[in-house]
Amino acid sequence: MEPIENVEETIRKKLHVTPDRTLHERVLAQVRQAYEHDEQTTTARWAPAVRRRIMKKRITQLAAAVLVAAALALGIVAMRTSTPVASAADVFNQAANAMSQLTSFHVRVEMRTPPGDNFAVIGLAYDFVPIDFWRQYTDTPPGSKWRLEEPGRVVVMDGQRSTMLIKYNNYIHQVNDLNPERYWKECLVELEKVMSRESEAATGRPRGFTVLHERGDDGRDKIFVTAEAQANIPETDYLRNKYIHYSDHAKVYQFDAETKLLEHLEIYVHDGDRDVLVFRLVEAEYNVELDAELFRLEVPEDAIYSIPLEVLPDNERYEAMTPKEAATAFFTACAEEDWEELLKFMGQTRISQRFKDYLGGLEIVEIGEPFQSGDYPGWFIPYQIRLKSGQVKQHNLALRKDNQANRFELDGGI
Amino acid sequence: MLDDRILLWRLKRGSPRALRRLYGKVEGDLLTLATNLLGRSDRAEDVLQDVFIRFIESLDTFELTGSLKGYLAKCVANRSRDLTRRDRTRAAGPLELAQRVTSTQAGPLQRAIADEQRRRLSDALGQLPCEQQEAVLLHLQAGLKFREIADVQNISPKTAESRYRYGINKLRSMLNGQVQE
Repeated sequence: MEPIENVEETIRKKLHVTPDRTLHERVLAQVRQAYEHDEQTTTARWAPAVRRRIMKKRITQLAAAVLVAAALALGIVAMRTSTPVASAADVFNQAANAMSQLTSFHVRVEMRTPPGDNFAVIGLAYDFVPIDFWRQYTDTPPGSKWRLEEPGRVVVMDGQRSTMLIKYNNYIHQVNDLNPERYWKECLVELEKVMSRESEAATGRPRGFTVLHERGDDGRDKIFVTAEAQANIPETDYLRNKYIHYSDHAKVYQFDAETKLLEHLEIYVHDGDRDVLVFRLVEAEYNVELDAELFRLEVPEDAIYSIPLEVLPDNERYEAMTPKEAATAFFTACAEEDWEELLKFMGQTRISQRFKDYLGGLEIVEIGEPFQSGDYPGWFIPYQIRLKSGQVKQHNLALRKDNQANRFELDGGI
Repeated sequence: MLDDRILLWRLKRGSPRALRRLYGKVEGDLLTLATNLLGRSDRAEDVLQDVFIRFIESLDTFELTGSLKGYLAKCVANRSRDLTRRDRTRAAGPLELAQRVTSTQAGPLQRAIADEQRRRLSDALGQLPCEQQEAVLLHLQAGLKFREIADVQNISPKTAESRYRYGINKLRSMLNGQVQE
């Protein structure tokens, strides 16, 4: 008998079974049948509704017809030459151009985030929450109106200023800054800007991007671009995986190859050996008629307004506080129900009754050592408190000092 | 991995093209794995079909960890193990397997040698303890890492590696009459 010298290689190669055609067809038919059945029953809700109404106006249709005729004439030449596959940077650049031509859009995404919290925060174990973006481009400066909304929180830019309403306590925050990214770095309100940024990133480090061309199930050609990004903070950092940009993640974009418009986007956070889907685009409508009411926000009568912290007569005392002292003073004010004192740590017109009911009369169990994380300009202070209800709450208070009064101000963690 | 993610993403959106592509991508390796684990091609076909259908039924909640092929190979191993335990059918294996495998050798003598090697190899694999046989096949035919094999067998990665090494050494011993370290 001939010896078998390389057992591993022999197992790999010589025991390989090549399925014959009938087996292939037989099993695939069964699998496809199961898939089609499953699709009818379960995946319908997954299917994103991408509605393109680019040609809604007659004049646009006529112009398009002329362009198609011209393209067909030119295409006879173009199709005879091999067309190089566009790089990721090119694809994003073309997408940015396409999106800068839009008159309006509505995009709905779903993200794993606590409803009503700031738009950007994510959690791998949270349920998906819908978030909507509407944008209407206008001829008059500043050029657009937009609306960003999730359950419990909405921001409207009416063309002059943006107003955010946090619904659970009727808290209003108004700024003249028109940039939606002040609310959320990954915000899709400025789609063209997102695309331009990706184009720059793909130019700078092309190896982090891949491009795939495929015929879509709707018969149209699609371009998929995947973008890998690394978190810019250590694995043990507190903010790791709490924001998309603080996670190792992959973004998968799908564009219509012809219009270059974004059709789908998914973001996966790499967590150990898991890839957790945290963000998915579920609906995209371009050049649609948007109701003008979307860009008006009715402010509740009993709204609490955000205001800049004023310099106090005894401001020096507060300026000198360490983060731990400020956290202790904050919770002491809650414990003593001294709401006037508490307001010195909160830039707002008054304290809501809901807030008072929740934190009033609390007992401080422990205030830990403050720490910093990521590029957050403030501090996180671990705390443990016992609420009036008896519930013990353990979390990290977020305080920041980059305000005109130069004293610590509440920024989250309640 | 990214290709897998795109495939999964499209599968979840009801893309028959993605299904065909995934199936075509892994069919040969999974069928090879199932055939060698079970030693019966009819059962291997059933396992392949079962695994794919179960995978499709779980698509709605499925989250990818590692590669799709790795995941499906684990499912094939688990399903094959269940079947083997249930009816202990592996004894019928080696001969049928040797007949099914496609030969790429040119001449009749070379083909005869290759067939003989396959028969002996398959026979020797069938004599390994199940867990060693599984470790060898998952590593060599499905490309699973020892960490992934450890998950399938519910053991530590070190133990998975040891099972693989013992299995390979036994095969060498059975096939060539010697033990290599």
